[in-house]
Amino acid sequence: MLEPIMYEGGVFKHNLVIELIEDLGGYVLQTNFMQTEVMIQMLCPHEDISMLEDLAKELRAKITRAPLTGTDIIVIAPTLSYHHLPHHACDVAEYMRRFGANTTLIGLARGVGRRIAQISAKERALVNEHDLAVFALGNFEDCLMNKKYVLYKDLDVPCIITGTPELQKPPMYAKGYVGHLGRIAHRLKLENELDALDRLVETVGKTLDEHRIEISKDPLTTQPARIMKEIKEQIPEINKSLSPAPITLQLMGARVKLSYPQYKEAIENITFEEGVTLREIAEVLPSRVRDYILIRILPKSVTGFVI
Amino acid sequence: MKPLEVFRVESPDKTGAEAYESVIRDVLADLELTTVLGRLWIWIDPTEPVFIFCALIRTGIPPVCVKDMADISTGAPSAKQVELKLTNEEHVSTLLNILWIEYGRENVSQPEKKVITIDTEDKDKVAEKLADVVIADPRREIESRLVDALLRITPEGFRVRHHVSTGSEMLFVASEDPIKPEWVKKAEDMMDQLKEDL
Repeated sequence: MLEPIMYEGGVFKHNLVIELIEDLGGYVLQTNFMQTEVMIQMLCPHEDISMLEDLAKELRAKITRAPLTGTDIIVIAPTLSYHHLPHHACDVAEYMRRFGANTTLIGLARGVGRRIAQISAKERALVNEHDLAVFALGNFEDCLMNKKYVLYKDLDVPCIITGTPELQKPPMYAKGYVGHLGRIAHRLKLENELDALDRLVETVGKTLDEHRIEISKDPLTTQPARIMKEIKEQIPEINKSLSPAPITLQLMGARVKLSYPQYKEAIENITFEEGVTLREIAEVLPSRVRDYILIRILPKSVTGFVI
Repeated sequence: MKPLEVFRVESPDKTGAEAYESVIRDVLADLELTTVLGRLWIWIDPTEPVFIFCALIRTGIPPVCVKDMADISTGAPSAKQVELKLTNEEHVSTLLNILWIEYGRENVSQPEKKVITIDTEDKDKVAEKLADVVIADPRREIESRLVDALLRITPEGFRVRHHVSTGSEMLFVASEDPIKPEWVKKAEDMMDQLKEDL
């Protein structure tokens, strides 16, 4: 099993880390340089973590388990108006990025109010493309418990709700709930607000881990990270993408930021060294985000093999 | 009345009310309205659902008239013009715009930095009329900021609104259902209580 790890250290000799990960059969997902510092998100085989730890110690770097690495999370505010943005929803999205997640932030068209709150089929399909949804809701318990569930009751992905009151159990249809994160009109910087953000990351991490265990019962034919590596090697156009994460990894696939009509064939024809092509082990679908490509890897029970 | 001498945010949901109080403080601080409001009382009941906002506004700075920013004279008896000697240059561009619209560009000139003249046949009448023309009204600007704050504070889904606004008080009822008369009555009672001991 591959462990999501974040490496933070100096640029000096950081290529040794990348080489080690590649030698161990892990994957480097993203490398961010910040002047003389570097932050590397990677997947490392569980049994070889001690080797990575030794190297990090030698280079005076820090490695931490980043449970959100390689996941695609969507943060949803009821609308894009001043009432809900920027402070609360953006801070939640930004905080999760620090733990390795790729987060997208959207505002619903008609998510406000109690009786009138609704989510459209298009929005629902967009949310279902992600691994997990975080709904940034408001202050009142009655709204959270009795009204707002209409927004997420028909979603297929697990939903975590944030709001002000401390609830004994999550609202109906929600996988988890985090309190003290309701409607806030200032930057989240107070101690209790940062604690709430930490609890949110913990809840999200736990939910994603449960999902990973669920997937491992019927494992995917290949790792999403392997598909990322093959795309980078076989479709050089991906390197011209200006997006910070041209390939967004998900638990069960990836979103590739290339035009679907133009690159569908090329993506489907990617060949692995075992001799199979991508079209045999995954579905290549149009993404709801612009004209991007969504790859959904098929499980072993469908293909009959694992590579 | 001192700034925000009464500041009440009430709701059957105590935690929600506390959180809402923080939102209101942030919005008022962002829009620099903390010294503009004297008393504020907000009632939110999400189960009804209703949002009531009652506020007393502190009387602030008076409007700026032409006589506050210039000395008006009619000059020599033979001259057919009114002369404005500016004492405060803050609102000159607005003043010029108003004069151009009222008397025409060709009749208004500025021979010196601090002197504006208006050519007219009836200079005494013009001088008298001009003295009380309002050039800038800070209160109107405050009112627009207050309305902005109100819309930011009100829950976004509450789009059915009833409001009564005078220069010194503001009453606002919002809901997502048609406004019930008892809500308006409650708001008026709250406003009466707010005005006690003024």
